[in-house]
Amino acid sequence: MLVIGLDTSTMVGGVSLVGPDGLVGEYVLNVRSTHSERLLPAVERVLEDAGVSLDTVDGIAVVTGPGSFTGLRIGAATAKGFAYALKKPVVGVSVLEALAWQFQWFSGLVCSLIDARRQTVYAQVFRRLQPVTGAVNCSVAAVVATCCSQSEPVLFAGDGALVYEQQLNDAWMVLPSREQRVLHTASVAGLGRKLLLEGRQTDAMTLVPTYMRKSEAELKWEQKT
Amino acid sequence: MQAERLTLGIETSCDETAAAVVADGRKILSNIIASQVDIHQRFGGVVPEIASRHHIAAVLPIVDRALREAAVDLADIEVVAATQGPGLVGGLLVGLAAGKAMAFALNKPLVGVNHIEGHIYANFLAHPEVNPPLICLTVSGGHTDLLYIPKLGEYRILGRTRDDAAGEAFDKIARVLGLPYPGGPEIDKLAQQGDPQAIDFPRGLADSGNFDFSFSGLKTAALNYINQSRQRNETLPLADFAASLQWSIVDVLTGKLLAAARAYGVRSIVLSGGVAANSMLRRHLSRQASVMGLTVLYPPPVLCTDNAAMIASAGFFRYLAGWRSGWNLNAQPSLRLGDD
Ligand SMILES: [Zn+2]
Repeated sequence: MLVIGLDTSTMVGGVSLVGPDGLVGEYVLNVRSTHSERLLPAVERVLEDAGVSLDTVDGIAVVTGPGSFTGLRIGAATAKGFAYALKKPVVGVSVLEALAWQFQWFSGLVCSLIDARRQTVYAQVFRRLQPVTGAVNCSVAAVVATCCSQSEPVLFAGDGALVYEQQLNDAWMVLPSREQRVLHTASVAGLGRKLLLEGRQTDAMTLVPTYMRKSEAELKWEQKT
Repeated sequence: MQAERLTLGIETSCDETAAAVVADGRKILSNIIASQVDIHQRFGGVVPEIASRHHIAAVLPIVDRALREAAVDLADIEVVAATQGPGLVGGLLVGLAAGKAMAFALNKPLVGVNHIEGHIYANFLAHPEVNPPLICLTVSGGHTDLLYIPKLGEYRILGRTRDDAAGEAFDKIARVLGLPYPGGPEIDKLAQQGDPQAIDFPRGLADSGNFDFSFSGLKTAALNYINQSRQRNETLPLADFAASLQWSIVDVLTGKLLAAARAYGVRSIVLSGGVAANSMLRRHLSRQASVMGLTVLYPPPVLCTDNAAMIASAGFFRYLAGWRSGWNLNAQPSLRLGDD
């Protein structure tokens, strides 16, 4: 089973192809240009260089969140369009789980940390792919406090581990090299492939991002009433 | 008989998720619109993030319905057209990304469409007999653009407003009068009982010899008139005021339209945009045009709201004229006519 992975959840984003033998191709960029401009050209590039045509891909994996709302929707809409046009299965993948997948070799705990702006993060802790906590949106201090109380070493991954490097270093957390810390799209395709093989696909019609946060307008509305 | 050439149109620029299938750029096979009006009502306006969240949930079911209702398969579509702008960027990106992905997956050409140009094409869906060359006036709260359309899929801007749009002038004056939004239809209603010659408002650039417009002088004069009558504690002659205001705008628009028709030797004039619904504009322009043997077309009310059939039509004719968008096509929230 050959799976194409798409990630547009943060400024880091990319496209990858993963098959039965593992990685076929990957294209990851961490630049300021918009995902709307770079996603399809990246897909075209990876497919062309790998000598694969999109209709021979068996499934689509896309990061559904948490992350940039707009970025997530670009990825989701693209995955939906592919799935619908090609009649192929699609699966939504959590960026937090994909990071745990990427560091599944680590024997301690893995804390996936995504920058959520306004001094907050999205975080979830795993042990060897198994969630130890639920996904939360809170301050980085709260995450560090929880992780400091663990008896095992905690590895931090995700763009939040770049933004909050100082705090994590000060708390003696395990940090991979900066370039490894971010999500590699191969992890999205790899985890997505496993989920698709288990039959855990998402309905393309109803696939939507996991925002983990209401819109500002809704929050204000709820405060008022 | 030749097989029909099908376009899939997708429109997500504001609070309507819409998809349509149009044959040969003129014949609507399906035109599906999912409105979010009720959802935004409690916020007193369209909330971009909420609109975007609904667009991503609705886009595929709406496209699917459009194809089913047209009884065609996505594979039968020749070209995919999606609104590129103007509009709310979050919503535009959803429709654009979905359209791009479907076109990419099936190796179909993709055309990004200017939403404002789309509104013009509502006329060609409703009046299949109309053919260029044409003069077109796009007039709304955001635009006053006079265009020459030599053939479908192409246009040239002959003139535009140098300051306020015509609809903007209506809306601002209506707000000062305390009329409900949008102000244009309210002024139109009041004007029915009034004398258009009662007050002599300025006609900006009326004799400029070109096709540009200016409505800021009129707006200032009208606002001054309201202020002065308030200071003198007089009651504003509302009906006369509305009729005179409307007449000064209609007079300028009509004059420039007919002059453009004459200059370019066209037989038909098409209108689009919210102000195209103004009854005085329709009546006066039609009367003047018929004297010159010209026909005037307005979009039918059903196609005046945002829809994807007009996007499909505009996209199809752009495609015939040789336009193709790249896979790096991005949303352009403040796209204007003539920008592309
Ligand atoms: Zn519109």
